[in-house]
Amino acid sequence: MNPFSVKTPETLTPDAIASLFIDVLSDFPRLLSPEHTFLHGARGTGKSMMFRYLEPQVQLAANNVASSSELKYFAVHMPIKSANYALSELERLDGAPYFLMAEHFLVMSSAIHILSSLKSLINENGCLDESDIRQFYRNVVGLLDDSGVSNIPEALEKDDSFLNELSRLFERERANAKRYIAKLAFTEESIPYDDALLDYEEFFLPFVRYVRGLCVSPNGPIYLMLDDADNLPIRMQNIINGWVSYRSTNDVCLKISTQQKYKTWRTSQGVLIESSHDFSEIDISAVYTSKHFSHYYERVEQIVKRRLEVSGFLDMEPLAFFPEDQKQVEGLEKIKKQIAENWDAGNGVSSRKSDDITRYKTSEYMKYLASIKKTNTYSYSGFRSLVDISSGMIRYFLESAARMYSELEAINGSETINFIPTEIQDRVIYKWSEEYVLEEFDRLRKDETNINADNLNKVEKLKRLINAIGQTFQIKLLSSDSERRFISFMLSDYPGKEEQEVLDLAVEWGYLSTKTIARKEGVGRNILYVLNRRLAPYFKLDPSGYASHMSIRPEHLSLAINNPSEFVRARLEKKTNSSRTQQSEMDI
Amino acid sequence: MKSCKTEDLSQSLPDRIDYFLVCASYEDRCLTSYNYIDSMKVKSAAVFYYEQFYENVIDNADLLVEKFKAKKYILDNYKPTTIADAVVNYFSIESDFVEEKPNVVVDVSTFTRESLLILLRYLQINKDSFKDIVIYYRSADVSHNLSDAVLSIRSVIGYMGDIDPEKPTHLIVLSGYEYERAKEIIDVVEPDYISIGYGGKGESINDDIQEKNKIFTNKLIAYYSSDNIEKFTHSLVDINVLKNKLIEIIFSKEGYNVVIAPLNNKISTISAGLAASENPKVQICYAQMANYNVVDYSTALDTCFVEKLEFN
Repeated sequence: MNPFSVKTPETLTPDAIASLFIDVLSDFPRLLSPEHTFLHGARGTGKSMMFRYLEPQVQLAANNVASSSELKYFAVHMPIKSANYALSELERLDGAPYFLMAEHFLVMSSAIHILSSLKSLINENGCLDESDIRQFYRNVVGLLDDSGVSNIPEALEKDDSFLNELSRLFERERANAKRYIAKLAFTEESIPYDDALLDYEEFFLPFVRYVRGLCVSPNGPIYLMLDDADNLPIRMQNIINGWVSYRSTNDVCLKISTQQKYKTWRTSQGVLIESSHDFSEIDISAVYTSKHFSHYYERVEQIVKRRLEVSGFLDMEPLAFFPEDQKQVEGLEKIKKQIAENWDAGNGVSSRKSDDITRYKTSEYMKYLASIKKTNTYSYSGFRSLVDISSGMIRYFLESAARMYSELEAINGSETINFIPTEIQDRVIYKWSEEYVLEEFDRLRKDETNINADNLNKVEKLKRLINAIGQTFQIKLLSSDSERRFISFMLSDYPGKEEQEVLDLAVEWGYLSTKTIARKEGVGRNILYVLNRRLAPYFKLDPSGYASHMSIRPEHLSLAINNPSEFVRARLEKKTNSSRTQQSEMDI
Repeated sequence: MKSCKTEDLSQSLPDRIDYFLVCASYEDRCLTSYNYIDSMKVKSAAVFYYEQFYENVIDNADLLVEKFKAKKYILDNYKPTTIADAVVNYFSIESDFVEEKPNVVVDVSTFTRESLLILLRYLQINKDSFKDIVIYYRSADVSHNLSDAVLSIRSVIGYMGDIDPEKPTHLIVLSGYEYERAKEIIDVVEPDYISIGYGGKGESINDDIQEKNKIFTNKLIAYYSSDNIEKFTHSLVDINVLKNKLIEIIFSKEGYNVVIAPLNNKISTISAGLAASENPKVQICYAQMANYNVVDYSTALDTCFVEKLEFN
């Protein structure tokens, strides 16, 4: 088995999650507190895995508790897939009919997920007071009856469970709603809905209270975890926001994950829900790329160690499994020594010797490789480097590691694998970086002067922007400027609409990530755009540590989008004179 | 599926056309009927166009309306219900065929995939009201940049399927040339398994188009680097061949919800529609784009494909 293979968390069993998951929850304490929470993070940052880990079945499998009733919350994972909710027929309804039907649909789906989780808990625990369940069944049936649900069976069939019968009732109501929605396809006229419509306040909250009353239920509120809520149509997001506005956190806390594309913060009544007042917010990327508080490296180290253990690599250290290129390590050591000597001789730039070493060692080594025309031999191997390149996204690390492992397995046949050779690490990581850029970038680089910018679509503009930024950073790294290591930029002023759209697309697709930093002037904050470190091998950049931020004027950004070569020239030209005066010559 | 030279198209169509439907577009090929079909053989016609492209399509729409004395329907790209309503309206007001069942001819070349699928679904539901339903498609060499910026992804009206949230999802992508569109669909649907198809050699409009389609598909697959992707080739020139292939793929993964994203030519879109109609649990999804390359979308080729649709 490949220790690094990535599978969708939804398809993993509780045992698999319990064995693979490294507890990162201490990095996100608010996720566990009894309040409504929005959890924002790009694809692959581990949102679904975190949600699934909170499920009682997984907590039991991880031996964190002996019985589900010991848990302080009852976490129910509800993946939001567009195929379930973005139904065009439903959009035919306007106003109240839409909101009633859509809420009914959401309530039914939520109740079905809760019931399904409850059933699996009962199956696992085995213990249950039949009368407890019977009473629960009667209570819920009473609720359904009060809400207008008809044809509820008088008595249960033999050998049937109460919970299965409730599932069938819920499924039936959802199927009724679907049949009704399908009927809307080719008619403009309003069609009456003859079945019951269940809502949040009158049905769902009392239902949740009955669930909480069961002896098998964890001892706290239900955490309904809506995973990827940006896949909901905007009006359904309004409904969810309405649920957030309820002070219902004693019974149900909504834990809502998004890929930062959630479209509205208003309820169906038009009321704005507000962060800290109605809900808390967590941004995974901000936590994992924070300069001072990130535990990302340690987290990946734990995850890799655990995966290696599960696959039979006992006591294997990730640093040993992904070794560095020794020749390069030695070369860098020599450079570091020279920089230190240079600093000792009074020719340093930074006030501390170690700062000079950090700032210039990779640059000087790259320059050396460039002087012998061997920049392509720069090695990105080594666990630390691979973690840096994964850019705060666990999945990025695992995907590339899985490829390295399969490639080695294919070469090795039945021979035991003890580590991933540096050549394989480099081959895979370079290719993996190139794929992210796609061949299109090369084509654009060659053709850029021949293409009329007006005809370029946004994707091509994005590619040009990334290409321009990457090339500029690369040239700076090979320069003798005092500041050479760049991986991020900030704008000196607000960009135009076109440039902002391209930046937004870059962020949405993960080529750039954003964070805010305090302005040097001391008032307000600036948006910092950080290049995805996955691009580092492609552009021959240094992925490690926290480099300087390049300041870019909006007109230069426009140039980057429309004429990358001109941008590179303009951006570097601007700095040439000033950098010469700042620079201390280093004789290396 | 029968192919013919565009100038011979008229001979491949019924001698008398009771209902004729065409979509006015910024693509020149929307004028195929204007140039090659005698208005005398068309009893009733409807010209559709999207208000979002008004400036780029109105001249072509007017030419078609004038030639066929057609009824004009303005659609809203943001509201797929306008397509369904227009179709219902057209067939309801033009229903004075008392002696025998009317036939229908559709120029499918320039309908959006979503509108084409909705029209197809309507015709399938009401198939007993019509004698023959014939479509024709004029092939074209399409530009490299067809569209950009996905606004939303939704199920197509009439193809919402029966998705069970507890089951894994199998996404079948008929990939065309719109990279962003395909990527966004895969990202949003988050399938557990992807079957991704492109036009096979000898089954595409021509070898150049086939090669472009293959390169695009390989790029898309490279992005995902997943074990759960299966690649297949298929026909882009024969509706029924692809329909049968799709049905085979739908049943290849048991216990999965199935979603189809048709992103290739209109012939393959019809195949997807027919396969989904025969398997009502299957959903078809559509990605609505913000911008289309209205200046340089396609160059019409000189071949048409004609088919009498058979609904099971």
